Amino acid sequence: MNLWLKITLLVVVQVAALAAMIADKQWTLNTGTPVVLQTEPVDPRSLFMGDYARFAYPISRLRLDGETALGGDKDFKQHDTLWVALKPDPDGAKAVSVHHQRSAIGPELLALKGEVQSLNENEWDRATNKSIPQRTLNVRYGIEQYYVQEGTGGEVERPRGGEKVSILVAIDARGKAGILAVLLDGRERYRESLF
Amino acid sequence: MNDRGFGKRLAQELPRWQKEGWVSAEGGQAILADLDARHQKLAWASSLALIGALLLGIGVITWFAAHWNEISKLMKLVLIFLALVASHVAHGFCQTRGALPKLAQGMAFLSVLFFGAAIMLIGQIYHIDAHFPDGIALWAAGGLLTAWLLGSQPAMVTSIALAALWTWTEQVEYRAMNWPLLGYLTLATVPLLRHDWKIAARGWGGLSILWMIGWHAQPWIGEVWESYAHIRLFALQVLGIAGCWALAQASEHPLARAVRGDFLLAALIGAFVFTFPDFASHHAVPAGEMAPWFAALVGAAALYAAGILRLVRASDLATKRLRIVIALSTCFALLLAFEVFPQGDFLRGIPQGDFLRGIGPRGGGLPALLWNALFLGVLYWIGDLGIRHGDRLMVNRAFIGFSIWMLARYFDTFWSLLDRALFFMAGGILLLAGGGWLERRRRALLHDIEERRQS
Repeated sequence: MNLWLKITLLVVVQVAALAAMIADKQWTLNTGTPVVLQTEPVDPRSLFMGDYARFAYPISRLRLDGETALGGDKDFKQHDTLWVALKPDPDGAKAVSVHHQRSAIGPELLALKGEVQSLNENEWDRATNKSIPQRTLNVRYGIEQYYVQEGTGGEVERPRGGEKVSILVAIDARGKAGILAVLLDGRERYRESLF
Repeated sequence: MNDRGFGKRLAQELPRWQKEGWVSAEGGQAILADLDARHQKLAWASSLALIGALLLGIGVITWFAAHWNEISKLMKLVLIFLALVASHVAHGFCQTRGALPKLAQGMAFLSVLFFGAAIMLIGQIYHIDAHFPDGIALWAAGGLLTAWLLGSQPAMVTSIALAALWTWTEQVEYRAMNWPLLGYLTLATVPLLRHDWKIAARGWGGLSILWMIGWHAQPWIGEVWESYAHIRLFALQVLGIAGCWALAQASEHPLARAVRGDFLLAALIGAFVFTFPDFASHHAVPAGEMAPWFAALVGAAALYAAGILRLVRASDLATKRLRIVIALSTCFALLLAFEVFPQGDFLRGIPQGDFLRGIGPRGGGLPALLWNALFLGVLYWIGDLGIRHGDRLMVNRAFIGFSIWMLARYFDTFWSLLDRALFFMAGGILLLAGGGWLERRRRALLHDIEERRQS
């Protein structure tokens, strides 16, 4: 094969692979069902990529036993893929149950795919100042970080007194989620677009 | 043959040519001096091209980082794609119009770096927070395609290094079997079979071994210090790797010649581990399903038998010595089989099975004694093979192996005397004397190889 033909083929394949990354994300954002999630921001900084906000959500920690335990399966291990049944709510979607299989989630609920980051067997009880038995899953959904313009990350990470940060996510038919917008007190602060 | 290899071979051959009167002494010196001067220029050109490509890559990435906020999303994408395309086009120009093959290799290497930067930057622009090893896998695949299409060893080596990082994160951090790596390894053999890329070929061998090490991090095999399954798996892997080495040793293909050093080293390290008397004594007694282990043993043994058979067929040894080699190889396989089934579970119902089962379980002195005897026998065979084939690397490996074995047994034996000055004095004298003798033997053997080659 001619060298220039090989180079053309290489460029086409590599650009197609990179374009597929973008297309996959845009497909989630364009076809997904919008859902609002409340956040619990934390404060990291990426040396390579500048400012970014890292979000933790109430659905990032799923309790498997106790009074507030979720329904569904209980036997999860680290790095397992799981499916969370979500009930949309304007004040923030709530997790109803957690499963190994997507088929266990009814059509009236949204299915969100996640990965078990870690499994805690105990939790610190602030009331009694003691560690109590409580099985909790720490889950990652791929919507935990959001890159913002340098110097503006603080607005999201450390909102001023009383401001509430919530995230508008789109959940597509495959259970994948993508951040559509970052909301400060319900108003859009950042909105995603293709270009 | 590469420039360095050609120079080395020429330096070895020239004295004989001078003796035959084909080349004058002055002519020989002039040829070597000319080759040396050219080689230095080429090495410098190659190193400078690669360092230049690396610096340019770092510069472009940091420039992006510094001006990130001022660039629109569309412009960022255009710049990323342009940088990638430009590196490929530059490779094409260097290869064709510029006739600068070394710089062209630098450009191919740069394009692999740009492809990785493109993946990371697009991930950032579009907030793609996916499974981390997938990004490295995509990068490695892009590097492999570059190496394949542009015939670039630096791109191939970079791709293999990325594949190693990918399999490490997937298997050790995420504790998931990286089966897609088998596809990568298969595809990588295509350019490796076409080109005589020694460094990349050795990297390929190392990557295969790393993938096998990653099996021990899997949840299905249990925790390292709790399950005997690790010892079983390790023994099977050593048997399989020894089989791969034998197959590669019997082949004259450049890829086989390059990877056999890795496989030999891994098999020797595996055998050495079993020479320790306390190895595996703290593991739980084996239990559980035997059939899958038995099937795996049959598979690994078949691979090993095929390798040894090919090696024996290609051997020019006298029948008596060949029998010793076959006996040594059989003992090696049998001892590994006993490590897989230390209580001889598969011998139940066989006459004399009870006696053989008595050898186990692992942790007793007898298996270790047998392993030590076998390890020394294998080292002798490796050294002998190296001498007969004029392979200095094999001779050196055998001597290094023997030195390490001697040191390990010395510490094993005299460990209880560690707090006495006598330990250090006697040990020092013993090791000095042994080391000196070994080094003299090694030099004498290498000298013999050199003389035989020249005569």
